[in-house]
Amino acid sequence: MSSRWAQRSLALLLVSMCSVSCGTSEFGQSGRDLREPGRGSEAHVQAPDTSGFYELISTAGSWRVVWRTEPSPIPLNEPFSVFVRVARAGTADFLPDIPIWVDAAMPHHQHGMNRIPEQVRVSPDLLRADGLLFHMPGVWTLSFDVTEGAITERAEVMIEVP
Amino acid sequence: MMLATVVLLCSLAPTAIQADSLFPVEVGDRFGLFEETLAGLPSPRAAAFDSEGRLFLAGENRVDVFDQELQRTASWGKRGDGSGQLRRPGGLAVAANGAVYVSDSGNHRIQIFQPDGRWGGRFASRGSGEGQLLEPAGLAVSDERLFVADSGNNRIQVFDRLGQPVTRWSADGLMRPSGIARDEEGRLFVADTGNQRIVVLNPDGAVLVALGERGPFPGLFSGPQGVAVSRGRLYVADTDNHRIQVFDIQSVLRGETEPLYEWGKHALRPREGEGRLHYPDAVAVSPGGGQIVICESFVDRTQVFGPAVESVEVYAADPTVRTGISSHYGPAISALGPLLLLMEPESQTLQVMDVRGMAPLVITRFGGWGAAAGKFRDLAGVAFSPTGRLYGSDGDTARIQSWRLDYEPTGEAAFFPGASHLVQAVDLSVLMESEELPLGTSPHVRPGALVVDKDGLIYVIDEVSASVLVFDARWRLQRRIGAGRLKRPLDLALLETFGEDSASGTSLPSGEHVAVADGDLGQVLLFGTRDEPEAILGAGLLVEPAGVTTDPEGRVLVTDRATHRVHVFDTRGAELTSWGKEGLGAGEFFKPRGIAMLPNGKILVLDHGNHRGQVFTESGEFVSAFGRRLYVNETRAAPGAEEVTEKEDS
Repeated sequence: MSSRWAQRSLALLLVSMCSVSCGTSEFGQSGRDLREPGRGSEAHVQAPDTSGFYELISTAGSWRVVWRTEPSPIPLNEPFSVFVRVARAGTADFLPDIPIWVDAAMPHHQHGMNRIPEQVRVSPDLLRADGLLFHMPGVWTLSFDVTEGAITERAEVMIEVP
Repeated sequence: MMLATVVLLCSLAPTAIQADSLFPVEVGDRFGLFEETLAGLPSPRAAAFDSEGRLFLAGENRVDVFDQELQRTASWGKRGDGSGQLRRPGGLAVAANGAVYVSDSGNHRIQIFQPDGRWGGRFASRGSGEGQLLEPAGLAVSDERLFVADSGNNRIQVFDRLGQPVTRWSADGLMRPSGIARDEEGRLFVADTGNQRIVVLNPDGAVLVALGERGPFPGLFSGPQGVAVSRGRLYVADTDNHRIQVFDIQSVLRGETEPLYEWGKHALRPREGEGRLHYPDAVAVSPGGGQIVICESFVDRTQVFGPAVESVEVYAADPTVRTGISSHYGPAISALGPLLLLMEPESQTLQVMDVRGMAPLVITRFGGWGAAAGKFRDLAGVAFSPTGRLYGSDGDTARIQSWRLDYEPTGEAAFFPGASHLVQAVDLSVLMESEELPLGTSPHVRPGALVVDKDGLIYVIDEVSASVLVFDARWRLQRRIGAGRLKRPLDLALLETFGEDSASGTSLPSGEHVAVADGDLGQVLLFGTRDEPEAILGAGLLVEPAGVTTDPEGRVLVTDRATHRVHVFDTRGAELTSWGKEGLGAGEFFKPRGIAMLPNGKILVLDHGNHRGQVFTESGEFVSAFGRRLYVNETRAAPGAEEVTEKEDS
């Protein structure tokens, strides 16, 4: 992957996150605009911390999900890993052994990845998903499904890979 | 018969030759030539031959008997729950002594008939315990045992020939097993419908091999329901792929998945038969091996095929068959303002349509088949909440999932595939395990149709307990409605009433009521805060109510799948109007299901069997239709039709 693509991918990810957190609406104006149409997204994303982790709040508001990819930014058509931790929303302590499933899809193309990522527990409160691959350029949704008891809740972020 | 077969060979031989190079068996060693249609028995779901070649078909509420020339000679049973009466029989087996075992699915029991039709006994009752059954389906019989596909309990239950329970097998997690067949070695072949595979068991119930997974290609299945074995071959009614697949049993036991051959294609013309198949759900091979009988309950017919004389057309090789063309709308639908939420069962997807323009426009489509969050294995119900959240229920995974829809129907409507965002997936079976349930109540649930009220309460039909579960927004069980009263609830709707009002026909107490359409009772029951229904609508008029909604005036609108009609009632039970009959024209239906009110006061009926939706005025005058072109075309000549609209990919 060229360094120009890498820089653009990172820039668009950050644009996406900023736009999502701003929550304004410009439905259908541009394929480049990653903001959600209509009401805007309820997801909240902050800039990465010093260790490169980004933060999301799950769609129903129960979970704080922090994540980063390796390598970063995500390369086109090359495998990458996602590291993820989960805490209850509004709390700092990451929870051990809570079931998390990391996956990705292209909603505009109505398909997912062409491989199933392998989920590895690195430490009690840190999960690594290996083998993700964005096999084509465009807008991808990276999703984190967190399960507690009967309820699975999703956090997601949109990423454009040029 | 021989002469008739020869005549048919000469006159009806198909002309298409497409599959010679695909399959390892010669044309003469295959079935595939259409011989005749056995009509007159609605909803045939099971077939079996006796050793003398007599054919037994079970459908609707009776068993029909045919001689070796396929002439109907007798008919047993009628609708009811008494001895010898039947409700939606779904399985048949004939013992060596001629006794006919019938899976009386709607009554959750087995009935036995003598070869001459005299009633011979019954056993089992509704439930999940030992010796109890829930929607039993296929049957197989040996000299000493009766094997029952206990579909609603996800197991095979074994009885002795007197009806005493012997054992139960779950066979590595069966899901809605339907067909079952037994070969001469005592092996059992089970159509594991929900798991999209065929499971082979040894005589002790151990799994020998599992064949297939979900898909359209040879060796894959989509909702397989029927199985038969004959002369070393396994015949599978691959229901949602609209075909029959044939396997060599020894190859299957070796783990090979390639079929010997297949035949069948989805009908292109409405209700087209004569070789075309539409949801085949049972198969039986004659004792001599010369004929195969295929039941298609969806289109109320049974087709008979003989040996092929030329290569048959292959489903996958037909370029006219593409994704979506064979799919249906429904059964469920929900409306919120100008937005419709529909389901497409073949693809297990939800669709949101914007109805502001001349044509309903699909603005987003999501879901798909699978077990992961956001996917469905048996999409059963859909609902908008009053706040715009989307809900979908899944019978097989016992989940209710919800989405946020990021779409405001204010600007120009457009397709936006990324407009839905999964919020939650809630596993009701896990939830119910933590509930304090009444003694004898199973935590096993199977969610069906659902609605959400203005306070966020979620009303969902549980097909296992035949009741309506009510959860609050935090998924705490608040109430169970209709337990012990309902038999087969198919749909539900909410109704707000404001006390006695002679003008609107309301006689119910003030407050929120839930209207439940029960397909087996043939009634719509209105429940309030009491356990007993406040009112019963349609008794003696409705046969199989399958969809229900209410309008702002407090009227209750019901679709009847069996009579192909729409009925409108007030809450006292008086019928205000009705319309419809079986057919393709404007205002005609084929097995209508969901019904919804549009914001302009019009009524949308999901004409499920006709692959379309139809819109009517409140008095039942046809306005427009949308859906598959071949089906919508028939409404164009309707006098007074304002317009006919089509889906974007028709």
